[in-house]
Amino acid sequence: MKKILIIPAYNEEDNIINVVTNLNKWHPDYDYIVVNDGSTDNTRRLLIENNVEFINLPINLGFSGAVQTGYRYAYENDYDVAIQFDGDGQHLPEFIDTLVDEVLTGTDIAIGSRFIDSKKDWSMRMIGSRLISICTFLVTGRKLSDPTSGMRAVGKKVMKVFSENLDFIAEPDTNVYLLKNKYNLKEVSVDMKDREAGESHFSNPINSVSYMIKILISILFVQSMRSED
Amino acid sequence: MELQLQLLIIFAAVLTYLYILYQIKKMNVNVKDTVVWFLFALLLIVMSLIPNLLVKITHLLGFEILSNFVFFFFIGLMFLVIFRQSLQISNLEKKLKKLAQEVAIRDYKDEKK
Repeated sequence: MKKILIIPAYNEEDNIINVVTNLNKWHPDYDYIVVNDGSTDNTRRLLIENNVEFINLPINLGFSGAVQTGYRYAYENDYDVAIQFDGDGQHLPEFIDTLVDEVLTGTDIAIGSRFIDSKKDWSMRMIGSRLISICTFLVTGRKLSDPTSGMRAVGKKVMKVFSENLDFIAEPDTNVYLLKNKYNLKEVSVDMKDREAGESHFSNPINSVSYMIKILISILFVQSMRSED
Repeated sequence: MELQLQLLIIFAAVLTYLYILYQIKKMNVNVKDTVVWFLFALLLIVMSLIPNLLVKITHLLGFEILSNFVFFFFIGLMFLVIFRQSLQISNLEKKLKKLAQEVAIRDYKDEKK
């Protein structure tokens, strides 16, 4: 059974080495691949110095393009399970196995959810998450507790979709697409940490609003109409 | 249509034509991407030479005045052109992304050998 962790990294000099070291400690049996998305800081140098396995994108493709590179690599190299894992230290390695187990029992995609057992607060971020949940429900009839989660494990079928289909905004609209096309999707309870260092893309409110608009339009008007045949 | 206006439009069309030729010569633009602009220029000339045609269409379609129809028509045409460009840009992005990914994955594999 070949398993690979995909770790996208854009300007993560403060976190990436910790993340990889931590993963290696917890899961020496997993392959991993860091995708350096044209970082402009010392990420690349650190990856080389620490002998980290990484694919180096010559230009910055953005998050989804970077993750996709990982899925392509995984699919082309015949991995059975691919796990998407953030390079900023928010995801915790101890929860990977529960996701992978879910995929091994036949789920097409297992998503790590922070909110199966705990309540969402009313911060802007969580209001956004609720809004995405509502729209997802409207379109697919499924309630996802954590639709924006970027921690997920996928089997071969979804790996193929992600490596070939170039046209998603981010996680929430991929969920809608997969649900619409009858892929088997399950949420699994996980904890996440706040990011350890560095700036989030969403600390800028303009980015957040633009993200929300794009995601909601994609969910409501595009993915809802999109089928594979 | 006033004679000055007719001359002005023809002048604009000829200028457009020369400008496109100049850009093609400098190799700033592919010939196939200039077709729509040539057609534009041609359309301008037809409009100025046969103004009656335009008036007839205006009434046929139920516009009250000629200028309304002309605005409507050209704005519609512009939308079409812009959308086509949007398609081209998306296509380029897709190709660029694929290229970058292929190169990156190949590099990684080569290094591992």
